[in-house]
Amino acid sequence: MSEGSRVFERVAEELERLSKLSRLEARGTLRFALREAGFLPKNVSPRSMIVVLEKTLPPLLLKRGVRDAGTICYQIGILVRETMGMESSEGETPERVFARMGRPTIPPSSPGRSSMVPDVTRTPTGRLSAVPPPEKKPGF
Amino acid sequence: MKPFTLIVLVVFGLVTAAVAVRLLGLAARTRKAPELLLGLSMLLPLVGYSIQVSSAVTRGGTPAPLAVEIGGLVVDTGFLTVAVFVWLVFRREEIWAQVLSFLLVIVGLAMPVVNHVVPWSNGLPSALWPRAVLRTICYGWAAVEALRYAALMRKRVRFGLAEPIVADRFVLWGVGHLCATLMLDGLTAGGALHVQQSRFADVFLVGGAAFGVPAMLAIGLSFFPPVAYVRYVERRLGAGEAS
Repeated sequence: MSEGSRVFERVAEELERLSKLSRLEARGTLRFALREAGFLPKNVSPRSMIVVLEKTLPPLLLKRGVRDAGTICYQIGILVRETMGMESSEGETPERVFARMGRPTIPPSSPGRSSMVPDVTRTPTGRLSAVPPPEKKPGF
Repeated sequence: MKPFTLIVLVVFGLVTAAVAVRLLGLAARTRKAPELLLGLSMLLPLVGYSIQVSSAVTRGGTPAPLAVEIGGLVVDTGFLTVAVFVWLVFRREEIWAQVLSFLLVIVGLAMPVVNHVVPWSNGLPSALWPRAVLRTICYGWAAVEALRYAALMRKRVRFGLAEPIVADRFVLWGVGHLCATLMLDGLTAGGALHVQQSRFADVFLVGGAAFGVPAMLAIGLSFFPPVAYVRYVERRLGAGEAS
């Protein structure tokens, strides 16, 4: 029985295969990386996973002696983008619910950044990304 | 009733009413359950407590039993909608949360029966303390889930995956419900002591009301944040955002 979202399960499998970590180690490290970014296995989207692969997972893999941590995460990131897309697969999350309830008239504090709606269109940055980032779609 | 307690209760009621109107208006537009549940959770306790307080004021301090019954049921319904909201929004797929919500609803609906079947003692409704426990569990659960999610959201803000003001809203909502719980427990204890003409009644009434101040500030800010507050939150939480 899977413990996480589709993207978590897929990334865990690839991580285990590419890093030669055991299943338990790979999944545990991935879970820890997700927690560092504020996610749980069951509620991580492909877009958020990309950021985890770029920011929090590589240092953790290096600590566990995985030498090519950066390359592995980069490859898995490409796989996620190509096979799972960047659309959020989450349903009615607490974040979306609470974002709706805020005051709608506050202007964004900087151009292109809404202060009231979760920026689901924000493209994760990353020096590891060779694949061009997807086009920015209009937000809510 | 001490003036401080009365003022806090009136202002708390006004803030709650404003939030309820906003949420119910939003629910009418979005047709989504969370807004409706949250709006009802604000409105119904306000209506229920107003029934009881009005009766107490017109009867020289002790509400009529019928007002206690009807008001209590309306208040309980409001608290139970909080529990259902928490289950649906935070723990929708968790069986234990579904069971807990169901049990709370069953217990809540049983309170009027308890009041009728179990004799009142010293002028106090027999369901007074079970109701206080039920309401504390509902609001306490909301506070725990909101604050837990707030911790996750703060981490997401660091990586640019969440908006600071939305992350802050979870904190405010959690703190607001925590303080509201303490306020209501204090006022319940104070009311019970008042009926028994205890000299400690005012201590609990004033103490409970004191928690109402941070409660109304937190709930008000979470739904009606001034622009200056939004900018402050963005500076404070966004400052740690990873580049």
